[in-house]
Amino acid sequence: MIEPTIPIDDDDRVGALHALQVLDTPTEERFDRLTRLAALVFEVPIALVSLVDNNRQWFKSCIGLDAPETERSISFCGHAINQPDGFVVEDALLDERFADNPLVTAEPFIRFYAGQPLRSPDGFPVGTFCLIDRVPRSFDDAQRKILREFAAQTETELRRHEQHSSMRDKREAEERLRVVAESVAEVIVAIDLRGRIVFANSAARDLLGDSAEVPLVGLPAARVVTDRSPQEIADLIQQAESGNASERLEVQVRSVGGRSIPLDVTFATAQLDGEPVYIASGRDLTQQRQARREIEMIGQQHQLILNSSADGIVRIDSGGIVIYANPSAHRLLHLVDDALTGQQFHTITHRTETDGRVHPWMGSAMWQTLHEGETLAALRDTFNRADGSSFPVSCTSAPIIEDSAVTGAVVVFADVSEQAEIERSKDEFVSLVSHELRTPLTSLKGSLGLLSGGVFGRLPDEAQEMLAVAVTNTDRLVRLVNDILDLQRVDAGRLQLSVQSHPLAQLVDDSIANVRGLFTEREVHLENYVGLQEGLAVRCDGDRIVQVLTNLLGNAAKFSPAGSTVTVTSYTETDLHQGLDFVVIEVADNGRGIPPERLERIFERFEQVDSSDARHGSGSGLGLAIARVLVEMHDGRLTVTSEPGVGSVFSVSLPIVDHVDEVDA
Amino acid sequence: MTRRLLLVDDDDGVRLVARASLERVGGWTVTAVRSGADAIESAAASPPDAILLDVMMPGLDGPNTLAELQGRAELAHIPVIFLTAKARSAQHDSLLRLGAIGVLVKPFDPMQLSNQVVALLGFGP
Repeated sequence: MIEPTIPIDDDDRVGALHALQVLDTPTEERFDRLTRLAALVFEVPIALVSLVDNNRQWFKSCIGLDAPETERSISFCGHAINQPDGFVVEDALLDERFADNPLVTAEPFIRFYAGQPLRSPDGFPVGTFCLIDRVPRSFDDAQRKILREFAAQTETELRRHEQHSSMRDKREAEERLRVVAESVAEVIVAIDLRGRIVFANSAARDLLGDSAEVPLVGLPAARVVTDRSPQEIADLIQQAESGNASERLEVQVRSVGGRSIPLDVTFATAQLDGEPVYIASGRDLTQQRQARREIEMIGQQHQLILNSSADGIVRIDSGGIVIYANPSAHRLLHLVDDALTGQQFHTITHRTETDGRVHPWMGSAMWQTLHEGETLAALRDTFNRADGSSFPVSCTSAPIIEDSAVTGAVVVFADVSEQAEIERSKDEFVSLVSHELRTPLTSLKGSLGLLSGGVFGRLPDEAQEMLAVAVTNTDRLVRLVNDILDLQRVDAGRLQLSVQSHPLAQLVDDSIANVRGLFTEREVHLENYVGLQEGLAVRCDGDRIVQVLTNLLGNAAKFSPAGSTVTVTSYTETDLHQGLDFVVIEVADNGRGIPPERLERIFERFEQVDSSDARHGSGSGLGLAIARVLVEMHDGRLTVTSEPGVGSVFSVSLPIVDHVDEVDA
Repeated sequence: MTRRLLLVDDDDGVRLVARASLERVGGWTVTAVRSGADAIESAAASPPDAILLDVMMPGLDGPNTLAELQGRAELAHIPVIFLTAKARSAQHDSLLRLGAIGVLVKPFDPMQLSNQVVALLGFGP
């Protein structure tokens, strides 16, 4: 057997075959009709349109043969493509090239072959139109001529196939582009060189309007562009044609609703159906403009607020450096505008204390805000001015949190010199009033006490009774004065705690000592279960907590029937929410109790459970109000539960900070 | 011979009551004067065993009177107890820092005043 010769330009030939895009496509009637007709005309069992690929021959149409392809090396057509005028083997068994060919010695047992090359449009023999028989045959010139006609017709069909598929490709590509163009939010229109719209995507149709009466496609672009004359548009197109199109323009177009809409348009030139077009794709700037206007407005408002604020407003970065400071901040510090920017705000405002002490940056309020993320509100501080003088400020520093990290802080401060002056004179006044009230009370209490104490001799019983009333009410007046002064300090924020560590048991013992006499007098028992074994210490102002407990114990004694028992107990609990341990001190009595609707009101000022309380004597009506304030100043809570007829339980809970072995020496 | 207290207060009522209390309840001998200047003069003339000194007085007030006493070698050793209408411990602390050995609060209990004085002085009449 001799294998077919491979032509020198076989790569080009195969390329030409592939370009036909017919290999491995389904059978088509227009080719089958030709092979069927050829089989009839030549009275052969097999007729093929065979295409010779790299290593195979593939049958686009085959009558009388089942195989879709065979190897090129054993193919007859491989020989035939090298024979421009056709290739005929009348008896394969007599031909040394084919006698032992497997296609001859086995199925399909070829004895006769006649093939005419099929040429691609550029002249390469890409395959054959061939006839095969299982018996030897002769093939005359007339038959060769007819076979060439079949081949010519097949070539025509192949060319048609090629055009068909390239047009389909083009249509598919266009379809894909159309889908893309339709689905984007951008307005896309194509304008031909005469300035007419030849394509508009859905966004363009929605924006510019498209109806059966006035279809968008076909309209001159000048009809939708409102800020360019037709001449200007013509010029733009002219420029585009000469390759000088502006890359980007802002144009106003008339929307379907008649509104003029700003579009940010980019331009490109392209081919549409073989015609050069000008593609304009635009973005509706309306919302962007609106947003920008709003941002500008907000910005102006913020600027106005910042400029008009009487308070100093400063933004510092995470290192405490001023990024922005408003005009009032500069004015209050006697600095020229912008002098603060870039400065360490803490250092510039805290140069020295009046006593020469330097305020360290670490641990300062601003430092805490930046490092702990804490908002520190209405702090009293003293700031230095540029000339070194100082003034009192109320200062709030709040963290700026971005992506859950503190990136800076906003410090707002106000000059409170006036308030400080008012407070100072108020304090002076209170101090004076305090003195002026106490001095006559001292004489009153003293003289009444001496009389009542029998220092000047025994008085008649009635006189003694009257004196007792005078003594009791003088004591009450003293307490009232003390309580009013306390509340005044609380209200002015001037009540200061002197905090130290105190053993819990000691606080309770001291409180009990203050009311021991009252309990004896009223024949009320007192049981104290708060022992040293509790081993707890509380950081507090000892005097103040004793004042609170004394008040609670005094109330319990006053409102308990003779012979009943008041108990003092304590226990610890953990507030999971705050993550703190608390000690709770409970004072429980067997008094008449408090009706539920009055429970909270008893902590209000001048509130007593009923008017008969006055008979129980000597209450100012301020004790519980002050007690609650004092406990809350310690970050604790003062609460009450009560059951009328059974008794009341007052609970003071205070955060535990120390254990007794750590008590301050 | 009983020990003698010098009582200094500008208020006549307070002076009368405190004196009666200290003398009749406590058994002290009391010299009472109405001003800081009088107190210095009295103490210089005849040093008492202890001084009860009012804080707020016209002219030479309590703290200045104390300073004056401390400035005189022969009087500096006399223990001084302030008698004040200022009720709060913060104020008391500052008074103690001046060198007083104690602070008593007005209004006081006349039946207890002497006991309180004795407790602070460590000696009685």
